[in-house]
Amino acid sequence: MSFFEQYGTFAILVVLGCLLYALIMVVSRVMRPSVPSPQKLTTYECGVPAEGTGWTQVNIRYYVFAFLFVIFDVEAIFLFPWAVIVGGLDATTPVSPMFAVVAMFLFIGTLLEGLAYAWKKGVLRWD
Amino acid sequence: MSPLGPLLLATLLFCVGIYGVIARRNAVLVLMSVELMLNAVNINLVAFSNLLFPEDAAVSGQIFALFIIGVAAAEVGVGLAIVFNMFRNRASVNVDDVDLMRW
Amino acid sequence: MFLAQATEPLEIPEVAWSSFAPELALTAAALVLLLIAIAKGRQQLVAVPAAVVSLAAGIWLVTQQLVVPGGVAIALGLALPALVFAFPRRGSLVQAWGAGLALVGALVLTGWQYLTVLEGGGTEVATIVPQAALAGALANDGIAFFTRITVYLTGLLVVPIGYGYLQDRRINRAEVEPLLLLAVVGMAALGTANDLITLFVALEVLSLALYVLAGLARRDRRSQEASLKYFVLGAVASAILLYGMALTYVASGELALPAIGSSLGLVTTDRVVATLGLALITVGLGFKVALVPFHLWTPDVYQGSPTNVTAFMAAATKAAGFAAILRLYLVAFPGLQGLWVPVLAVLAALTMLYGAYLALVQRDLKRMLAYSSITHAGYATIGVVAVSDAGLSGTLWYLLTYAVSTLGAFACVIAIERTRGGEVGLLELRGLGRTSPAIAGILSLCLLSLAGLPPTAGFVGKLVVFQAGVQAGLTWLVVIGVLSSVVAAFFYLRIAGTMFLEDADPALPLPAASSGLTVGTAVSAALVVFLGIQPQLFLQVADSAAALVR
Repeated sequence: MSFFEQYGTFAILVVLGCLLYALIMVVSRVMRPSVPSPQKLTTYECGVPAEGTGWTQVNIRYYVFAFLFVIFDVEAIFLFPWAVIVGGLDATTPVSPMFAVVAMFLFIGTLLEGLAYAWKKGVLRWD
Repeated sequence: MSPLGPLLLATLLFCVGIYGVIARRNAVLVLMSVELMLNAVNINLVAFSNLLFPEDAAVSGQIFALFIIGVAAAEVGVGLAIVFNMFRNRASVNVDDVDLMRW
Repeated sequence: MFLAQATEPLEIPEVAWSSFAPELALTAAALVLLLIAIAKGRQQLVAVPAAVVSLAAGIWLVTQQLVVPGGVAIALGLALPALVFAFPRRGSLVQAWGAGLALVGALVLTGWQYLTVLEGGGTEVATIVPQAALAGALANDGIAFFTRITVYLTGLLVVPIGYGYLQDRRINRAEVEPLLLLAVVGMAALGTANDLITLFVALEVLSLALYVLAGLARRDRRSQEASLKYFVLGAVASAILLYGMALTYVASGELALPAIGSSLGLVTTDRVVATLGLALITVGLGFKVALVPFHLWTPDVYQGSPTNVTAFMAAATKAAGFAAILRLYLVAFPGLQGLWVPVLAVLAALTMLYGAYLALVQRDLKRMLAYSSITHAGYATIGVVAVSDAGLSGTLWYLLTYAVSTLGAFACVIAIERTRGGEVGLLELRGLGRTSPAIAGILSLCLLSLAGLPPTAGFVGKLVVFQAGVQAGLTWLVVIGVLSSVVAAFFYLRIAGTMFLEDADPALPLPAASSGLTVGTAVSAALVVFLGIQPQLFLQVADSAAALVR
């Protein structure tokens, strides 16, 4: 029951938001003067005429940053299984809570060493 | 749920990946195709761990998938470094340009 | 709901540290060496704390009655600041010595492990008692020990062999040694891996390190090309191998290799899916060890990579890859023996013939050694398809002899390449036996060993493997092996003939060896002779290594 109460409110909010948006658009369409011209259909580019197509190749250097991020980001998946069991550890389990914490910090430390290496190598600089 | 769906999806993804590796000229796209193949494996592992072996408390198939995700990220990192290095030297990421050594 | 499920009591495995002590030591060494590399001017800031931690751990271990690991930790801890102090402005020397000492430590730890799991003694042959550790993720059995010995020995020899070469080519970056150590760790772990997850992670650790090492000479287009080809094909092979593993999991519901083995032996198990998985795994692993239809990357990668990396790849990767093959097929797939034995036998036959045939027409020495390494993968496979204890120990022993011979050969190539630069072709070798007999002699010795002629290690290796093949009733395969050896002997001897019978070109500079290269080459050559004349010691170890965790 609580499911429908919580998400029901959210659904009503979504519906109201859509209605509000539609209302504003309709009101502005009704009230504004309509003077179409070809100039208004071009891409907005700070007053300079638009040039070229929208399809350009991204510089490959962006990928280095993106993947440095992705590598460290993805390693976070190993934190989740750890987080699930670390709460249930106590003196009776074969692995003590202290051990689990130290092990995880060793893992994170290894990752940090990788980051420090990348930093020292100047990968994080853009020039 | 029938295991046929995930199996078909995974096979399809894997084949798309293999096709991409063979047919694509752009090294970055080749990398993406390899990722597709790895994710096909992940779909297999997660789906069948859930559907066929629900009594396995250690969810070993899903744990395997976690490891694959982690390793795949490292693999793409290394791959991009290699491609980037090639790009800096010859301003091209076309794998067909790499043909200095033939017998 | 999901959270409530997760708080059920979980079985947490006991961590048996001693079962992977050498790998642990090497990983720590790699991390510390990398830290030292990025500390540039303030190396003692890294070395002293690392040494203190290592000393403390060592003393604690000694108080726990673990004298050998404690001693190794103390020795390495003391060596680190001493090295940094001794070579203040020579970062690459610190790295090389550090890596070498860490590998020595790993060898000592392996010996210690070996002695603790031995049974029997005195006059009778001691046997290894196989042990599973980490809830079955690792297997400390014969394959693990022998692979460790081969891989650590190779690493230990490659460090001095490559040192001067890397300096000459100005690619002596600080990353080389940590990457090498990590690759070694991956290979040793591959020999130990007893479930699919460990196997895959170990394989990737070694592959990722080797992809980077192959592209070490960043400005050299050949090196770039080698690393790109190795990476793309290696990644695809990994993915295919993984798909095979996933299908095996689907068929058996297990990830531990012994459990897969017992599950696939049942009648109820789906054989079609298991067979598909087996086929894909064969493709993936066949690629890693370069069996013939999957060998296409080998010549290019071996030729393009820096020569010391090639030597390491040729010697150690093969040992690790075959360790994985042996364990997978003998432990996980004995139920499908009727399927994989004929397939692998045909692959072995193709590999031996095709490799020898193509090696005949090569002009470049590195490329020729690459084809020769393909041929040797075929010989080693004979031991696998024999499916017997003799075959198992034969393959392990063969890989050791192959590793030392090929290391020696590549070390001589490095010596020639250092002064002449670029590629080493047959023409450059003319008359080398007159101008620098030592290098020509050692190169001939190693090539004779690769060809399998009597007083060398390679002869004993081939003998053991062929014997196992005949015992298993694979006489046709052994005949093909002998034929291919004869063809191979022709091109090995042609090189020796070029060196000793033809006149030297006076315009060519003489090969030069640095002190590290001299030591490495001499030790490899000595091992080639020693293992050929006195094979009993290691043969006994290999025989006792046939005990597996099943």
